[in-house]
Amino acid sequence: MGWTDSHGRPELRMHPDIKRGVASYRRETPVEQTAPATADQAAAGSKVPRPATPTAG
Amino acid sequence: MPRATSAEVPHPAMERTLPEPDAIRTPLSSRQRKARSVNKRAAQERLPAAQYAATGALISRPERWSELNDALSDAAGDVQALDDGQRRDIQRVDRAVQAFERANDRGHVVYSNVRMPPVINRSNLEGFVRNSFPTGMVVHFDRFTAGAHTMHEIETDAAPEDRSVVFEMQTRRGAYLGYSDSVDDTSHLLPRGMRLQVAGAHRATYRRPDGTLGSRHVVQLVDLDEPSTTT
Repeated sequence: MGWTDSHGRPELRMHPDIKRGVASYRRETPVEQTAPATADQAAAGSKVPRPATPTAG
Repeated sequence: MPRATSAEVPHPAMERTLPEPDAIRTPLSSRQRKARSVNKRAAQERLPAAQYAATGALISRPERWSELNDALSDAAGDVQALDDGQRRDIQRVDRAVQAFERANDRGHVVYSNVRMPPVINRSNLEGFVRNSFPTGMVVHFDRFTAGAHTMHEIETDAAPEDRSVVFEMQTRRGAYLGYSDSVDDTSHLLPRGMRLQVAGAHRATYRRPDGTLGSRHVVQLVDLDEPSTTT
């Protein structure tokens, strides 16, 4: 019999396929400190496509 | 995006920092797992029913995990662009994760699998990782991220076409969802909206509970929302 909280709810547990799944990220291109930073550059840097597969398991 | 709500770390020894490149990554100690389990249960005890249900559905049902996370990716993390039901459940999970963060007084090093593009295989993986993750580069997580506190728990198959690497992340954020020392489970849920900076990339060795060793490419990342790194 596993642990339950005082509300009678079982302990939260992550599915192993989710735990071993693949994280998804996107890259932010570093802005050169000597280059003038513009809103367009910052926006472009935040739009780099994510290369990782966005699914778990 | 949900903001960090991590509790103060009462002693430097309770921080966890990224291991040296040549250090063997070992399973979390029994004492560490017991302490984290105590905090986890205390946080769950205080979760409202709706937050418990939303979090439980997200982390226990792979199809729900994919549905909500894919919606977040499609919206580039903008929860306001989602339908009412998805937005409501995501915000409930946000609040639940914050409750776990408030109950936690320890640092974490969390491991997650990441897959490289299809043109990459084991023969060119090392060079690709080195070139793709230069030190200082920043990565964003628009969606929730799952992982564990040990490398052996997220092992993938060792087939030649395997093109996965490991993100090794130093953070105070997220929810420990593992167990005490009776089960080999140190699961961790990281919140959406994290920004992390690359601290290095190399091949790392890890030890399994049975004593055998494994080796994988890791990209080390430091959470930019860490109190000590926030400028």
